[in-house]
Amino acid sequence: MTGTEDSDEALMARVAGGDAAAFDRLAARHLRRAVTLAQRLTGNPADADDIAQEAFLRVWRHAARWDGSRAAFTTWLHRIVVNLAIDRGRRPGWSPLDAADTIADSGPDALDRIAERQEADRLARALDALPDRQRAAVVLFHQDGLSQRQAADVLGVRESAFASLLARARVALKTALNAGREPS
Amino acid sequence: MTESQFLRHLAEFGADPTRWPPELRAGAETALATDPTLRAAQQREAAFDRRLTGAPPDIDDARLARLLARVGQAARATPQETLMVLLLGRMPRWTAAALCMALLTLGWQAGHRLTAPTNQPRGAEVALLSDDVTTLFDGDTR
Repeated sequence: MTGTEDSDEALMARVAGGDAAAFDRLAARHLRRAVTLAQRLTGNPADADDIAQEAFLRVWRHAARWDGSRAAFTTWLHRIVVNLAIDRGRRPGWSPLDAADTIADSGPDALDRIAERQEADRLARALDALPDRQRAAVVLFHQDGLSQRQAADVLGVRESAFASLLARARVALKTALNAGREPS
Repeated sequence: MTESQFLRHLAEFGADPTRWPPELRAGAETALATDPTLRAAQQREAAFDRRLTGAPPDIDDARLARLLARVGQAARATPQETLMVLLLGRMPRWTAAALCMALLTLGWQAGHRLTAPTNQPRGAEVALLSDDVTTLFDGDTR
């Protein structure tokens, strides 16, 4: 959003001046996407909530640092979320999937849902086995729907480097998913 | 674009040529339009892309509302980074305070030196000024 007093840029200018109401509007607008991205990167709802909260707190604290001429607000927010998710993934004891989350369902679509859940688990495990930045490349490009340029900006790399990350990730995932095992 | 180039890019970037790097798109569309084998390969890759995309995580409105409230409260309890912090960087508080005091003292001393009175008698200054003025106007002494 640009050009109006309700745009991300205008709200960020107010946030930088300490306007908490503007911050609330900005958070309400972008929180769902931030949580979704964090959950896709970590595979864990509790971690995703913590990461999204910390990301918006950083937006609040460092609002004066954001330069709209260098990066869109959403790019900046995505970058914060990705970095926090990568940092959290390095913490000891981190687990991407909730092993206790099983399906107890006897409805008519139960088999379909179980199959969907198994497929989602396979994908999550294969993604989790990728190096951090390759996983982020797949999530940003295929799941979050960013263009290669946008995703490269989020990761702070050139488009050619992003293309390389994405290509290696796709090869590894194809091998893992087709073979039914995680990429090495 | 040759068949092998197309297949390589297909594996690297996925089935949708509109999401490929801009310089490859036209060649990809031409290759697809002329070669049914490539179209079949594209359909197989599209199935793989759908697997990668997966279903979005289920984030219900109640969870989002709780999180939004938490974020708002936490922000109101958190001080923002000020202009002073941006200027001084992330140095420790005491170092920043000492630097500020040193700059203040330096500024005070410089200002004091500039505005301090000279030792010359005041009458001498006036006489000198008066002589200069008469010389400047017409060269005659009065």
